[in-house]
Amino acid sequence: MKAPPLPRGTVAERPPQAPRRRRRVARSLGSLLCLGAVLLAGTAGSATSPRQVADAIIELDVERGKELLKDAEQRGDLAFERARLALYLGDCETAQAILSSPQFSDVDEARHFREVADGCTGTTVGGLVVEDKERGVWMRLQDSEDKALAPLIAEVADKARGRIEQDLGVKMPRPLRIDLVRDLFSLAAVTGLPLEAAETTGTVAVARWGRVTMLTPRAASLGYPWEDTLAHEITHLALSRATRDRAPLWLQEGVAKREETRWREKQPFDDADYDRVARAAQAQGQSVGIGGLGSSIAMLPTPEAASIAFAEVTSFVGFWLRENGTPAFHMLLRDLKGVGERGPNAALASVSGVSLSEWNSRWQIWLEAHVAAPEPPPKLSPLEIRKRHQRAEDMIRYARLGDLLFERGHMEAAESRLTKMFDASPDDASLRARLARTALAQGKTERAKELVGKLEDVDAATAHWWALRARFGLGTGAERPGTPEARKAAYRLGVALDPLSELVACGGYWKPRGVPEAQHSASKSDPSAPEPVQGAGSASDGELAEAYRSLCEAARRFGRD
Amino acid sequence: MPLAGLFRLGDVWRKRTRVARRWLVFAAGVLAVFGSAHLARIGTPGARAAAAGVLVLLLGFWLYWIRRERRVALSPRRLIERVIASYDPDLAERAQRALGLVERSERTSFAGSPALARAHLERLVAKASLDRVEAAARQRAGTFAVLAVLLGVASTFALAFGPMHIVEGLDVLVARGGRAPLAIDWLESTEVRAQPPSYLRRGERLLFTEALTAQPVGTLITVRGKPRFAGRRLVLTDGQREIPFVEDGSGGVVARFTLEQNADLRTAARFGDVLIEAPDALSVDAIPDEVPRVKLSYRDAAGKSVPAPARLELAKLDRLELEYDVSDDNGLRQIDVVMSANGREERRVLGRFDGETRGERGAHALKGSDPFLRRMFLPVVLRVEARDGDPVTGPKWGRSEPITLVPPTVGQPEADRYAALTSIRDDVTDVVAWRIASERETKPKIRTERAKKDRELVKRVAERTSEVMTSSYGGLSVPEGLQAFIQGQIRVLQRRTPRGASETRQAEDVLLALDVSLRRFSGADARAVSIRLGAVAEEVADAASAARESEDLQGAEVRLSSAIEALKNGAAELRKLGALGQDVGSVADADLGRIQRARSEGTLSQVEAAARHLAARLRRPNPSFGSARRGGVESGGGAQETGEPSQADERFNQLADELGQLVREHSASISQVQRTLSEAEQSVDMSDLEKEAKERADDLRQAMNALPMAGANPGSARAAAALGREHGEAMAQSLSKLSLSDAVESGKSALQALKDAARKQDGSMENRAALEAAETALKRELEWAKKALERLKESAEDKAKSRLDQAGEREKELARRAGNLGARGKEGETALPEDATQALERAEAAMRDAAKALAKGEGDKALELQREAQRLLEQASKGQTTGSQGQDSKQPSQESSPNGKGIQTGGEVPERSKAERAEEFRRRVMQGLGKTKAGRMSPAVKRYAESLLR
Repeated sequence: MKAPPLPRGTVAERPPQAPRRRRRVARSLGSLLCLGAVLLAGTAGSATSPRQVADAIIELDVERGKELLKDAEQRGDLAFERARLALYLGDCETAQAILSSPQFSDVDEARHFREVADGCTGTTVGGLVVEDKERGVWMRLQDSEDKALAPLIAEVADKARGRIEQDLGVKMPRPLRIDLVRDLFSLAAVTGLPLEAAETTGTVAVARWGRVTMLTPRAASLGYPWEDTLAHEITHLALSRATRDRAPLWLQEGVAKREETRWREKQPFDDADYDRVARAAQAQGQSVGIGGLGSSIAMLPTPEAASIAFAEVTSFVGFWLRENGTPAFHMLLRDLKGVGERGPNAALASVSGVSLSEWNSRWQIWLEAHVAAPEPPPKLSPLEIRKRHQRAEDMIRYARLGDLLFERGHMEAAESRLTKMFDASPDDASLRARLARTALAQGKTERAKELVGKLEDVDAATAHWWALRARFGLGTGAERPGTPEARKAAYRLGVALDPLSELVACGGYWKPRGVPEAQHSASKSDPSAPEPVQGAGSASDGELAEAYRSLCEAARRFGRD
Repeated sequence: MPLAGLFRLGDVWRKRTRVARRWLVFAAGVLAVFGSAHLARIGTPGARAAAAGVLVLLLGFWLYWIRRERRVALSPRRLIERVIASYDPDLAERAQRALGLVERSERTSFAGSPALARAHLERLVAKASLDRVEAAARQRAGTFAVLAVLLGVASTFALAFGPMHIVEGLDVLVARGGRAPLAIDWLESTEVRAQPPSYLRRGERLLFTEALTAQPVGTLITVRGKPRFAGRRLVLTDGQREIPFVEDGSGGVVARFTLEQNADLRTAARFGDVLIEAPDALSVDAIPDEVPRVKLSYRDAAGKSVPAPARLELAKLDRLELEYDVSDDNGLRQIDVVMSANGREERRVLGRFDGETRGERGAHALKGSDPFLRRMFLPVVLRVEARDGDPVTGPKWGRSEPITLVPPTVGQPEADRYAALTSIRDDVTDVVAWRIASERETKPKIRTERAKKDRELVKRVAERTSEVMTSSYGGLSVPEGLQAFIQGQIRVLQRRTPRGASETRQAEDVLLALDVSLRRFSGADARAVSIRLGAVAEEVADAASAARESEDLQGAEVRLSSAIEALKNGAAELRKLGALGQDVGSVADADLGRIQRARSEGTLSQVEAAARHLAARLRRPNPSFGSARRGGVESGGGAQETGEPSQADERFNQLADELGQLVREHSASISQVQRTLSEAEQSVDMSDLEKEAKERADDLRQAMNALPMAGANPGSARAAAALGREHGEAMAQSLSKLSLSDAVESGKSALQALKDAARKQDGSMENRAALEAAETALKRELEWAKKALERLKESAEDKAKSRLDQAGEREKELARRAGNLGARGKEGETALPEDATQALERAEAAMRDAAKALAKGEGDKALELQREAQRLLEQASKGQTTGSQGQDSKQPSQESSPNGKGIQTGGEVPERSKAERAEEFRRRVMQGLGKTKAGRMSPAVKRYAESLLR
């Protein structure tokens, strides 16, 4: 019997590892069970062993798992593997039923499986299952309102899987299973990740039990980059497949981080510099270290530590790949799959001739030599600190005032308050989007267009900012302005960040709500405006064009904006 | 005729034996009947069958005998055998042969001539001697006679042994259905008594034995008498039950029968399976203890009484006034108001009684915010139920017609309240927008016009605020703390800004303050509602589980549908409660979708699993994505707007905390001054007064003795005089203990009561002289006590001067803090309502005066001022802006006080070890007692409480 596969989370990687003694007991128990299994297998005249079945399932080869278990339904020693298979297939009720048998009441591992099966059953029963057979993507939605997202998820999953397969030299089984859950509570229940840990670090997705379990973007009030997250999690599954789940944590996270943006074209503001972050952490003594990741990144004490850890492993894997090349990487994965009890370091040493600690030293030296240490923050006078503090307070004050006045339909007043922020923070995309909306509501289309017109005006993009660029056909800078391609490109970038925002989902349009009749100035907003989403989808989009319309309707029903 | 002679002989034989023969038959018959009667009296079926068999045999024998005699008389051969053979068997034999020859000759010709044969027979018969036949007949008759006598003697003995036995036996013999036809009176000197059940508290009654009577169920009926015949198994029976009579020790027998239903009571004797009843029965009608009758009505909005049944919307009820009228034929034990909904029941006792109260009318008010009602999400059936004290058949509950209270959807009151509160914020937003637009205006005339409109808008905000604050939302109101905060902010909005200050900025500050506080408040509300909605989800799960296992599928389906409907509506209301409510409400919607999908597929186990998951989620009402507003591949990535745009409500809450602290400290300060004065008084040497005080107490008691004791009609002069006596005696007691302060208080009360008595001219108080004498004595002693007390206080204050001086310093410091809080209460962010700031100002003034009085050593005056200041401080203290809402999940008892100021239950009596708290508790009780001087029983109550606390 094998330990359960470790979770691969965007932030949360693995559950806390059991104390050594407990693991020894579990291992002894596992050995006994295996011995019993072998004896039983001998008496039953079957060649299938639990180890074989477990390996097949952990490699995500559920079809082979099914085949191995097909003629052994009466064998008690394989009941646990049947439960594992059910969990990997997303059939949590069956797993729950198998694990409720008294034979598992004293087995720690089975108890953990049972807890997961219980939580998973409660979260997923009655969920809406959507399967894109053509793309080989199976989705189960806790909130059926997320149906509008399903085609987009399937498209992203297919694209990302293709690229990851190519990069890792591995073929993923079909279908890819994705559970889209409504909140962190459900995410924890389905995956077995401690809820408190998920809340502390802001985990949004976990790859475990052969599935990607991901939070719906509607859960976060400003959305999150769900497309890259999905790619990140698919990478974890692919690594499990390639290494039989024996890849060390640094490799899992480093590769997943590297792959999360490689499946798509480079986008504006796609400029995360992990080497710089790692160097800064090194210089400021905040480094987590390749060997200091613990059992899981989700278990790190703060979100900042998790950020640094991600940056370090990404930088380290990038360095290793540069030094050794892709073929060596593929070889490493194959070695890991067969390394057995010798551990991942043996595989690393075998492929590269150098141990992990040596690679770590070399990477640190490289960082020091090639990445400039960040300048220490300038020392500010108390007056300057106070001014900055005051400015931050003013930003919050005027943002909220602007929102309140906007929601109440006082667009001029809202604009005047937001403008007070503008001088202090002209490169804030969120502020520009707010101002553009107030301008639009007053019929000042040109002013609105001007506010979101240039990429170089902002330091980072927001979903609303992209949505308004989509409305004006401004695109991502790579397309000809005013074309359907430009609209679509900007629209997709907005949707990639916050698809359930009405402004985003409806291509930069919105319906005013809660505004008194007498002050319905929002109704002045571009009376000749085209129907929402028009232009976001083109004739060639086929089902996606329909998906955009559904998304807009779903966002309106959700009514979060 | 050749046989004529023979028949003549037969006649002679019959004539000579007839009498004896008949006597013999008669005697045998009598003996057989007597024997059968004795046998039948055993009463068992076998014995009765045997007796009947004997009689049937006897009858058969008799009939056979008659027939035989007739045949003998007609048959020559039998006549020869009986008559001739009785004395000459040889002749009889020859006659038989001759008779045979005659018969043969008449049949055939081979036997010779018939005539010759008849002649031969005649000759032989002629040879029979008539005398000898007579002699033989006489001899046979004698034998019969002897036998008849013997049998007669035996019968006589059987009769003599027990003539009633024969009657009883025959009666038993002919019984049908276990009842003998002939009734026999078994008892003489019969006496019947009825003792109703003890809970009715009625005495025993003698009943007429042959009359119809009606007695309560449970009555013990005792039948006593002397048996007419000894040795019978007598019983008392109503036809179903039999109570055996037992000896009563005085030659009689007694049986006790407990009445359970209508009965015809008879005495009877039991013979095996047969009962011989007495002819007369005692007919008793059992009066059942009826179920208490309960009438329930309620007061509608117009104050009109409307009887149940009724169906009321709970959301529209602030208060439900119930009126009940309960009656019972024998007495009530308890009246409850019972509320039940979805398997839960709450029973509240309205009254307990001694079982003698036959009627009770009363009223009970239920608040719309009642915790039980607030927890309910399905219709609540409310009834008043009354229990009688019937121990015989067990207590019975009478129930009124129901009043069905349809609760608002879970979260609806909170959502309505939040909507009302946000309408204030919206109005303030309009003011802000107006002022921003006005700022740009440069023309004075237009500016003036805009200022006028501005005032109108502000006035509208104030009016709206007032309306929102005084409204009720399904039994909920706006918590006092939040009320104070909002009213304070509106006060700021109404205030003229200082020259140079921006009116717009002022309105913006108010808007942001309201916005932040409302967001916090809605968050707290959303949490509370979510937890309650979790209970609804749990109910869905339970209903699904029940539907899987229940035999009443229809009922279970109805329960499930109701719970799902309640959950759906609750989720919709939750979504209205700010950002958190919107978030958690949409989570509930998502899982509701799963529940409904599973239900439509008929998989109730999945319905249960999904509902339990949702229940667990709702009980943990955190945002879907923890505390973060935006997720990211990198944890913590992405710029976040942090912090709140206004700290007004935090600062207000801080001020509220400080004010609460001041209230507590000032209360402790008052206690300290009281203790100082009390200790100083106790330390004053009063030994010189002791003897005189005792003498004066005795004099006073003597004067009071002439007054009447308590018990007169309330309100009469006599009752007032009795009250005066009570107070007077209390004063005497206090005097003898040298408790001068109490003595003066009691004396004043006594004097007042005696004056009342003197004023009332209702004729109940005849001894006016005693009244006057008592009054005179009382005045005299009161005057003395006052002077002594004054001297005592002067001495005490002298002794306590230094400590009072310290207390004065402390009071001055507290006054300074009150002034500081009052000043802060006028500021923008922490503005308090006007009444609160005024109360603080007055409290500060009173505290300063108290400090001066303390500095001068005037303890009593200072105490009075301190108490006034304390009252004002408590008036100004309103609590925090979130009231008790945020703590609903942790402190359910606070649900009863949505405004955060309700009475808290669940407090605890201080432990003995916590001496300070215990002392404080004692002091509070004493202060409370000190406030209740009025009332007839107050002196006695006070003495009792003091003894308890000692």
